[in-house]
Amino acid sequence: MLSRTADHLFWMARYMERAENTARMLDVNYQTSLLPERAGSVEAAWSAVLGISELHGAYLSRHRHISSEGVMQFMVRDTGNASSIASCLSAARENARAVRSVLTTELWETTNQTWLEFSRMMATDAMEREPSALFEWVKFRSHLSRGVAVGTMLQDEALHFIRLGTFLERGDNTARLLDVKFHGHPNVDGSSLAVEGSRLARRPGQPAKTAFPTAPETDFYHWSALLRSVSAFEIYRRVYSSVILPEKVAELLILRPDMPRSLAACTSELVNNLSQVANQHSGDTLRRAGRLRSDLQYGRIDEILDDGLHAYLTRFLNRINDIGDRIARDFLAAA
Amino acid sequence: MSICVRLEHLTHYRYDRPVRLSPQLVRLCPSSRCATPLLHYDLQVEPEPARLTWEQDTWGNRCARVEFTHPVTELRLRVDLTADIELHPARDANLEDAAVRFPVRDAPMLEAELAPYRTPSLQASRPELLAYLEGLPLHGADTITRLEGLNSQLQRDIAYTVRPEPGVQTPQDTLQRRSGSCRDSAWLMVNLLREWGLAARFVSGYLIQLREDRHAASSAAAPRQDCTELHAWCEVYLPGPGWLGLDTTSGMWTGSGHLALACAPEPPQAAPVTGSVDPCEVQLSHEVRIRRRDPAGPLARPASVVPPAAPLAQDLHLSRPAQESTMGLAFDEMRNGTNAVRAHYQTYADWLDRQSMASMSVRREEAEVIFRRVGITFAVYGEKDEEGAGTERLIPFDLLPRIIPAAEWQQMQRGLEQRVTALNRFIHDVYHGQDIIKAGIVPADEVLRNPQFRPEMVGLDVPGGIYAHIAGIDIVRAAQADGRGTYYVLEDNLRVPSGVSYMLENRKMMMRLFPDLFSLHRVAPVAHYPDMLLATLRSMAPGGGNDPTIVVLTPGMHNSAYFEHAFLAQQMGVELVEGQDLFVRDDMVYMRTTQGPKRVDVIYRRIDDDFLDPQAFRPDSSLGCAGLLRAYRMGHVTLCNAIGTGVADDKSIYAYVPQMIEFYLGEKPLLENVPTWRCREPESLAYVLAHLPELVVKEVHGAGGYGMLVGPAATQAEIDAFAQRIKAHPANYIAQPTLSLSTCPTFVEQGIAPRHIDLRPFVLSGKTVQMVPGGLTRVALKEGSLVVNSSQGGGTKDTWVLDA
Repeated sequence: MLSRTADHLFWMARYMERAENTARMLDVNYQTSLLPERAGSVEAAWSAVLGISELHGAYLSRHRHISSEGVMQFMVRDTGNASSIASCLSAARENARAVRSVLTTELWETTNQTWLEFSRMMATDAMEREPSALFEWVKFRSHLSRGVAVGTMLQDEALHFIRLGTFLERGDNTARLLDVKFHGHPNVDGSSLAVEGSRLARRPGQPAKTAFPTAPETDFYHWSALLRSVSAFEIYRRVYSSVILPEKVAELLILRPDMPRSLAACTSELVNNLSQVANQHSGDTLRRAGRLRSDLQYGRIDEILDDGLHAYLTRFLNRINDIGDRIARDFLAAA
Repeated sequence: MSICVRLEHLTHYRYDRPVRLSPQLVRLCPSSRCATPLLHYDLQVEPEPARLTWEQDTWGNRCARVEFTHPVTELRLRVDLTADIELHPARDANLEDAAVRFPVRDAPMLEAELAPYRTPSLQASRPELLAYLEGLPLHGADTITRLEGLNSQLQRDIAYTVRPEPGVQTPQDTLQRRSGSCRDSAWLMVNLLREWGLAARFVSGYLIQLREDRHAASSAAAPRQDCTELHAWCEVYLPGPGWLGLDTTSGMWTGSGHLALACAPEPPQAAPVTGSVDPCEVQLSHEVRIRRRDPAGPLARPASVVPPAAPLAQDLHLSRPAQESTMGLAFDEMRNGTNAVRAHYQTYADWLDRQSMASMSVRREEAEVIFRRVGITFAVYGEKDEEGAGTERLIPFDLLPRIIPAAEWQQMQRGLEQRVTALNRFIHDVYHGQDIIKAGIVPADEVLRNPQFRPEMVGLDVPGGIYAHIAGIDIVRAAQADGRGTYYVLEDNLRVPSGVSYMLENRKMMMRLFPDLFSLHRVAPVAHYPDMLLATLRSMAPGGGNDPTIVVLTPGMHNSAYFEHAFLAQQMGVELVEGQDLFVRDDMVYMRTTQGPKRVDVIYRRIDDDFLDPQAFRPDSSLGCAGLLRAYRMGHVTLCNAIGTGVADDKSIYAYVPQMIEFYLGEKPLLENVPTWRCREPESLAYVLAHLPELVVKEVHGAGGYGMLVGPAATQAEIDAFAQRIKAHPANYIAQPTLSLSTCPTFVEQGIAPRHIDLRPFVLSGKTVQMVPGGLTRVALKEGSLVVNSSQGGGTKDTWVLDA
């Protein structure tokens, strides 16, 4: 397959996944912002959303204050922001258009249709009226693209590069989402989480409010909103049959290999697809991906919390982005 | 299913003395809100008014304002309309949650707008109305059930009478008498609904009842024959569907036979005619007639007075191909000189007659949505939308096919094979022995000084001696004096002809939109074109390799024909590459793949010679691949089409093609050239200069459209100026008679009308010459226009080669 084609496929999938994850992130924040909390903490939460995508500067050059409306505007429809849903869906579509000859007709039409419909919706007040419905729609269109890709594409390199893009982006996003929700928790910052978390981990059964000195029901809504944003609320209940405890949330989203959006699951898929497309240059990339997978496979949540979650997630992001760069070097710009 | 009916309504006022009329407001034009499509509408007023203007009254009703300056003794208003009545309309009242149950709540923002429709009438005696409502056996809060209950109750309680006297009874009068005309019971209903807090209005209009139509019937029994009358009913506003009609005379909902003329809060405001008259005795008579449209008769006369088109999008005025104007001279593909449908169009014409314009409109929109989703768009250079992205346009697709009888096609096909074979022989000859120049048939300078002549190609042998593997031959048809249509070749496109993807997608679209047409007709399939193309490309591989790697080379996704490049690559299952994906090493061409370099054998290139190789041609080109020409000359890669084919499709060479055919093949040309005068020849020059106003003069070596004189459209000054240019360089010009391209019925804004068309068959030359039946029909959508290019507002049609 042409390197350029592989590159477009990889990015097509990444952008579609990114649109979905941006929608998930905005949705959880929007839902949380509806809880009765101090105005300051709502603003902090939106600020954190910008923080994880490193977009504070870009945002403040366009808006005076950090507000729910401003951030939603910026992250959904602002085509001047390369990470907005509008930009992602357009980029996914442009990448698809560049390689439409290797996509199945259904996959191309789905991607094109998503962009057309989204553009139409952006001409209305759909976002202002029902933000959650819009985010839901973005999620479903992303599900659809993925389903159409897996259900119709020949299982050759093209599909593997699409899958690589999907899981690389998803792992990156889950890590960022976890970081912002733990980091940005009203009464906890990253460092205290590590301390509280480790204490908690040594004494299993300790109620959550000891670790996170907020009202228990606020805690519940905070963590359940996070779980719902990655479609993991029911899964959490099934897996743990327990009340919602932050360290279990972290464990589920980092280490559970069977949780489809967890770091472990994404990394595992990354390795699988990478080994399918291996060429004579890609050995080291595969090795690094494999090592990351093992770390997750054999990791323990108490160790992670002991080290500090924020530091852990930062390391993970560095490693996965290094793998992304290597994929580009090994396959996508081959001489 | 729908039935097309023509309704004629005459309103005749006779005054016993000459009277002066104030401006009369005539509300006899079905409202644009009416769901039933109007195909034609005409209002005639006698005696001729001094002024007739269309306006909207306060309630949004369309209203003709008729003014007279002199006294009159009579006033005739004649309405003639054609409507498409859906026999079993789908009913789907999608109520908003707030409207499902009583009490119905409106959105607060509508409150002010609906207030006039909710305020009880001053005439109404509210206690009596409330007493009536309370006595009714209506149960439950379901809105629809309640409305239907009240409506059928009135139908039972109020005996229907014909009341010729003017005016409307008060609601309580109607209740007390237990009888009334349609307008009386409708007005009662309006007032009762207002007592329930609903917004309701009074409607006057036509009621058309068709024999089969049980739904629009005024009673449970269907009418035994088609009939129509002036009628009145009531409409209620419900959040969700909006205004819904209730016919108190039938006790049912209104149907597609209810053509609303005017709606208003009070009956006098919805009267068909209002205005004052000097005191006099007046006699009023009405006559309403209805006929099903005669399929053999003209669909409709051109409208003399047409309401402004804007409010009524579905207004369609069907007209026969105009017999006057330039189109009168053109050959009509569908009809012969006596306006009878040609045999090969008969089945289609019958089918078309059975379609309603509304359903065709729906199909057209559907096609557009699909084309957008599929992304069959072309980029417009230099245009940006509001967000700075390049605009993508659709090439308009016309729903009416262009039909060619199989026998005609077979003849054309033989002519095309012959012509393209001769052209390939010619290209080979000019880059080798140049026999045709030596024989004195084509002047040497026409070839050697032609900018499309590529010295790099001299002496180079290409596989099979084939240069133009893909040729697009533009063919037009013009009428002869005896009425026959003759096909002429207008132009040969031997470089990178495009358009074949539209041919394929148009067929797919037609089969999707009108599957029934394909069971009625035996249309020759075209979908195997990519297969044929792939076979042609494979057969051209260097050294006849048995599994050659083939690629399509595109300038990239911003090229206007990118869709076609991607489409063909996908359909053939080969890579679509850009110049940056290719590189040359040791005079071999490779593409960069995820598994390392891969050798390329055949390049179906969709970029011009000039851009192929920055080392050999334009050094600023980033579209091509450095070293490609060397690899090509070494015979390590095949380019399709070959380099240097442009020398044979130049306008100056065009004129020699018939002689080429005789020279190389020893055959008489089967397809005619448009008669062409070469100004380089003194006799021709004299003729051309003497006949400039009737000729088209073209510059040779031109890309078309530039440096051209269209005599019949030019001013004397332009002609004089051009004559000077011709005299200065006669060899740079050729001249042809102005041809009137044939026309084909086409779906346009105003309905179905004739538009000029051409045809581009795609001829593939490999080991053999082959093509799929038909080609791409392009149509000039502007009336009278002969320009079919997509960049200038042209559209396309599906092209059918029909077995008899």
